This record gives sequence, structure tokens and C-alpha cells, in this order.
Amino acid sequence: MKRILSVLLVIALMMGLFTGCAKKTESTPTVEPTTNTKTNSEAGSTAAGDKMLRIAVDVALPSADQDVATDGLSFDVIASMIEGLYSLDADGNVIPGIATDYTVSGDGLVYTFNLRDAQWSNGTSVTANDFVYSWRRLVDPNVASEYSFIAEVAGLKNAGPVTAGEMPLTDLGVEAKDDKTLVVTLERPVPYFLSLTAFATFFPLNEAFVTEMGDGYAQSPESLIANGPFKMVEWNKGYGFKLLKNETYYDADAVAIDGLDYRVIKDNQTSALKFDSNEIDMVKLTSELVDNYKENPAYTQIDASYVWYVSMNNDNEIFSNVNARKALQHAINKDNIVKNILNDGSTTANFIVPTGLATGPDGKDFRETSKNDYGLYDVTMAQKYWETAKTELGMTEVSIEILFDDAETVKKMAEFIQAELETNLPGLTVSLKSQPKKNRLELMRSGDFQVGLTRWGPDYADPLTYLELFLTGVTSNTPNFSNEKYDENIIASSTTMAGDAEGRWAAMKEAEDILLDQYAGIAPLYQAGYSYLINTKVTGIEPHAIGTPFIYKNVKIAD
Amino acid sequence: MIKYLTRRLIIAVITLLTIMTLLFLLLDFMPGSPFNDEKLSDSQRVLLYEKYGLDKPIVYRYKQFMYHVIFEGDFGVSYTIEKNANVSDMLSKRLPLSIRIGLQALALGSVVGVILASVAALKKNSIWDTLTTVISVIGISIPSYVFALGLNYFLGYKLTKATGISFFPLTFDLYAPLKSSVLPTIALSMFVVATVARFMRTELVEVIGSDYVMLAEAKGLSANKVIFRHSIRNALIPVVTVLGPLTVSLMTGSLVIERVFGIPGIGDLLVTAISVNDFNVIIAISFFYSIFYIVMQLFIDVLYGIIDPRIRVSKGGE
Repeated sequence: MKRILSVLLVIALMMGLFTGCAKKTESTPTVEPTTNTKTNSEAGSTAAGDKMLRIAVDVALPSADQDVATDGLSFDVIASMIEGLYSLDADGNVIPGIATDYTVSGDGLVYTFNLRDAQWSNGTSVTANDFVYSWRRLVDPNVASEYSFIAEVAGLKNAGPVTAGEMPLTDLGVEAKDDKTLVVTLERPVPYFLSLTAFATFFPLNEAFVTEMGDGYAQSPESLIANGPFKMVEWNKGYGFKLLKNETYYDADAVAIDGLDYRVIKDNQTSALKFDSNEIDMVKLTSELVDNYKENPAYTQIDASYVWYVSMNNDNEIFSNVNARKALQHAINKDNIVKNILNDGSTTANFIVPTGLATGPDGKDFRETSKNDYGLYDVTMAQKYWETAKTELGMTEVSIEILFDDAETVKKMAEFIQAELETNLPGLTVSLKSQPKKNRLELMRSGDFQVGLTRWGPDYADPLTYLELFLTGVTSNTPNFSNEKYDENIIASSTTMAGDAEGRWAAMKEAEDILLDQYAGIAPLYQAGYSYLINTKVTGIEPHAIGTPFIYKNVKIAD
Repeated sequence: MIKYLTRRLIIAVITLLTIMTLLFLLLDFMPGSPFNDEKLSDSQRVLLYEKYGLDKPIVYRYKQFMYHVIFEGDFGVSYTIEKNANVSDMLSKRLPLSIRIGLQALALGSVVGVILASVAALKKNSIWDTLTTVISVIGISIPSYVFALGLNYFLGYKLTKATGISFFPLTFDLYAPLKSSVLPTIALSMFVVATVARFMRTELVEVIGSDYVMLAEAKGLSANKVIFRHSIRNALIPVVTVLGPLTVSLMTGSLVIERVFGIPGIGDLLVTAISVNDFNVIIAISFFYSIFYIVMQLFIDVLYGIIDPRIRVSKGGE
């Protein structure tokens, strides 16, 4: 009897395993869709005639709160939902958004914006106070926005002391004259101020709504409202999210698609297969897959403004020597990195201010009228500098360590640079140190490295967004580069020379020359480009090198 | 039995507390911070530390954290992956998915594994035996990434292209969880099949050749009785020992399977959290991992007694 009982128990337990599963599989999805939406636009099964742009992304949406977000995807999504004073057209020109027009005072310090009649998706009106509230929230020390620095970049009056908590929020240079008139006061004329108003951190926020949501703001579709082309209707964390056309958007007639359907797929092979099966319309390709799709009509290269460079610790025993720095600058075949390792549309960078970032007073791109041969690959020259460096340092054998992120492509790049340096610079031994990105940054910021591979992305359409990086004592100045003339030029171009377009342009060119040629503070590697697969039926996706990576408002999908 | 269970339960709670404490300390000593972006200035970082209370002394933070976890089930918020999202909420959506696919794979894998092993042991040195060995070797040696991608390519992509019908979706679909979890389940179960088949076959061959099975046969018991009551049951002990920890790792999600099939589970979440220093997420997932492990150990110990009464007797006699 006992035996029978125990056998029965074993069977029951085994059965439990199966029935347990059977029950589970029959039940409703374990992750409940957060809201009910149109059933014909369910993930991965878009019905015919339903014009959803289906996008595969490789990370979960980090944030939908403009004062918390720091990454491209978050900015994309926020910019799809909310429109600021101004917006950008396909060519990056500033076009009216919530503001219809503006006037600026003679000294370039006071902007007065007139706002149009627009509505939030909860039915309330968009008012000047929405901007005042949002901009104050950006610099609020209690919110601690990582992007609060942009208020200072924009030149908003008192942005610095307010961010530091030394002045009340009300002292920030922004006020609502009435519901439809916003007055902004700057500390100095800022040539790129208008284009900054198209950036997510300067978008309006409805105070009553955000306050009501409290800590839960922007954590679910219910805790978000939109005044822009789309509104979020579904957000399954880690899985995907969906935005539908916002009918209350003032320019809703111009929106030709039904919405955006994002799906998180971390494996690029799978997302490419999904593209081939026509289950998604847009996906970014990793370097390994580019060759498979280069001939595909859907293959699209998009220029970005990220610049990768080798940061040489100027305080280090070896790299305090300018000749050692110059040797490294010239010893790496950057074309090989771009062609054979990245293979994704990235281009060799012999500069730090990237191509396509900023247009000068002459109407030409900064790069078009500047030197483009900083740190060219030249082994003979590299070796000449290297020998001088070794003599000056009194060393014959030198060992260095390269610090880099533990990502696949970066690792390949580091290995390549290791081989290049060891081959081209006699007596040099290079070891590699890979770290998670956040730890790598920590080490570089604390100066605990010799050579590091790092990058910088622009925040606004002006060369300063790169050149300010290397000011003496700035946190992000990881090479710890310091030059008096350089500092003088850079500070002048944002202060005393702010109104002198030609003068500051020349000053910035000179600064770039000091940084890269005379002192070889860093060794630029490449300007990033991205490879995408975009369904050939889809048109009107507008990529931008600065601020919001993609604007989807004008997307059209052919039948 | 109740006394035994109570004792085990107390040990379990102490183990859990120890794990949490160690983890909290280790994460605090780890280099790097969740707030480390190219753009972040030092002063703003100080504000972020203040906002999340990370500027407080470790003892204070530890007390706060443990208080919230124990009395409110609150693991705090995510710092980087889904900024400011409640970690308990993040897990409450992801954990069931990982458990579900893990259990499906376990069920499929153990059934197929036991069948393969039984056939192999009963027809020792036949073509079936060789086939089982081949399957085991393949299952153990092919990385699950290759296997998952292969399944996806041939069954998810090629088959759909050829027939025009999508039998197996390429990625997991929240709205059709059963159909879309077939491929991940198969991919994940390969390792289970291989492990179970290998262990069970070896054990079964030994049991079948043992004296008591020969005696049972000599007594004239039917083949079914000999196999099911005397052989398989005795051969289950080592398999259960292996399956315990395996079950835990299956239920806590597989990084590879989740990435390939687009499943929002906790396997991938843990790895991402570690790489971006999302402390609260790391601790919360480790907490559940520990609970699973402890419960599974307890379950297995009880199961031993049921499968083999001798174990229970000897324990009782301790």
C-alpha cells in the first residue's frame, strides 16, 4: 500500500509539472497588455491596410520622461509624443512648432515666442506656463536631470546657479507673459538657441498632469499625455510599446500613418530575419550583418555625428610627452578600422568637429573650410616622433595599456589598434583592458588610465559642442588636455565673441588646430555612421545627427 | 517531517539574509556607478546620488533597503535600464515569462530524455543506444545560441517562406504565448534532454544489471513491472539531483534564448543590469534566484525520500 502510494506520488508530481504548464499556457498572457488598443494592430501581426511603422530596437525603452532620458531611443519616442517651440525639418532647419513666430531683442538676449492654439491629449490647452514649468523642472536640483547642463548651453539666464540650488527656480530666465506668450531671457546671445528648442529637454510639460502623476509620471501610457503627432497607448516593459496617431495634435492632418509599433529584439540576426519576413519595417544592422544586406534595396546608411577618438592621458608619464602622443596619432590605419571592422557607413575622422554638424557664417559646413588632415596615418612620421619621444623619455622599451568598453566591435577595434601600435612603433608593448562602459568612464574620469577608446556625441549644432569638451578642468576632458590659448579661444566663442559669427568661427578653427596638431591632445579615429534596413515602401523618416535621432511625423507607407 | 521542514525553513531564511547582505556589500565595493554617462557632470552626479539616497552611509542604506524589501516587498527603482521604474514591477512582468518557458523546457526535456534513456538502456549497444549518445553529445556540445538561431532560421523563417504559413513565429508574442513559445522551449530543452538522457542511461544500465532486478525477473514479474517499478524508479535519483539546479537555471531565464526570441525575461535583464550597474535590479533578481534554489533543494530532498524510501528511513534515524 505504502509503495503504491509513493509511486502514485511520484506520478502526481511528474504530472503536476505538465498540468502546471498546460494550465499556464492556456491562460491569458502572463504580461497583460497595459491598455486595450485596436486589435488589428497587435504586435507582429499588423493587418493589411493598417499603417503602422514597425520598428525593431535592441534595448528596452529607458525612459519616456524628458528630464530623465539620456539616450537616442528615449528622445525619439518623446519627440514623437511632444512638440516643442520649434521643430526640425528633414534638412535640419528650424521650423515652427508650438510657437508660430518669435521676436528677439536687439542685443539678442530676450526672445518672445507667440504660441499657437494647441491641445494636450487629455483635452487641456498647451500654454506658455507648460514651458515655464518644464524648463524649471529641467534645472530643479530635486529632479537632478542628467541633461540639466543643456540649460546653461542654451544660455538661459541664471541656469547655472539655479541648477546648483543657489537660486530659486523662479529666477530662471523664462516666464509666461500670458497663456500664449513666452518670454525667454538669455545671459549671452546664443546663435543656436532656436535649434535647441527643438530638443526634448525643452519640450513643454503640463504641470497639473505631471504633478498629479507624481513619481509615476511617464511610467505607463496612462501616465503620459501628448501634444505631438503620436501618443503612447501600450507599453509592455522589456517587450515593446506602441504609439498611435494623436487626433488632438494641431497638425494631425499632416500625419499619414496610424502609428509606431516598437518591438524590443536584442539579437540582430533575429531582427534581420523578421525584416526579411516583412514583420518589421526598420532595424539597425550590426557590422557583422552589413555585408549580407549591402545590395538589398532596403539598405540605408545614415550619417551620425558621434566621433570616436583615442584619449591619451596627458598626465601620464609617457603621454605627457607630445611626441609620444603624435606618434600614436599617426600610427593607426583608421581606414582599416572603418572598412574592415566597422563596415557600417562610418568614415575616417582626421578631425574632432564632425562633418555635417554646423554651418558657418559663410553658409558652408565647418569641415569644408577647415583642415582635414589631423593625425593622418603615416608610419614614417609616426616612427620619427616615436624615436624622439623615446629619447626624451629615456626609454627603449615602453609598455602601455588600452582601456575600452566590453562591446564586440570596440574590442575588435582595440585589438586592431594594439597590433598597429606594436608593429609600427618599435619597442612598444600594448596590453588591453576591457571594462563595462560605465566602469570604463569612471576610470577615465578619475585619470586612472593611459590610453582609452571613447566617443562624444553632439548636443547642439555648433562646433563648441565638441570643443568645449577639452577645456581645462571640464569633467568630460578625460585626456586632461590643458592649454591656455585653447581655453581662451573657446570661452571667447561662447561669451565675448558670441555675437561675432566670423570671429568665433576663426577662433574655433584655431582651437581645433591647437588641440589636434600643435599639442596632439587626442587621436581622432572615426565619425560614426549607421546602417539600417528600411522597408522600401516607407518614406519620410527624418534622421538627425543632433538631438532627436529620428523624426517620424512625416512618414508615409505606400500600399 | 514537520520538525525537519521547520528547521530547513529557518536555515533558508538565514541563507537568504546572508546572500542579500553579501550582495549589498559586494555591489557597494564594486568599482563604477550606475550614474556614469559621457554627458554627466560631477555636480549633477552628486545630485543624483542625493536623489536616490546613495550618498548616505552604507549602514543606513543597508537598513533602509532591507526594511523595504522585508516589510514592503519593495526593491527600490531601476537606475538605468528602465529609469525610475519600480524593480518589483519590472520583475512581476518578466519573472512569470522566464518561469513559464523554463518549466516548459524542463517538462519537454525530461520526458524526451527519460524516453531516450530508457530505450537506450533496454536496447543496449543497438542503433537506438548509439543514437541517444549522439543526441546527448550534440545537445551538450552545441551552444544554445547556434541551436536557437538554427531553429529560428529553418523553422521560423525558411518554413514560413516555403509554405506561406507561420507555424513557428520568429519571436515570442505576448498575444499568442503558446504558439510563439514552441521554438524557445525546444531550444532551451535540448540541454535538458541531453543531460537527462546521459545520466539516466548510465544509471539504468547499471540498475538493469543489478541483482534485485535479476531477482525480480527471476520471480517472473512482467517486463513492465520490472522496468517501471524496479528499474526506472531506482535510476531516477541521480537524475533528480542533476535536475534540481538545472531547473533553477531554466526558470531564471536564459540570456541567449531571451535575446534570440525577443522574450522579456529576467535572464537577459540580469546580465544587462550587471553591465550597467543597476544595483537594485541585480539584488532583486539574485534574491529570486536564491529563493528558487533553496526551495528546489528542499523539494529535491523531500523527493528523494519519496522515490527511495531508504533515504527517508536513514534520515529519520539520524
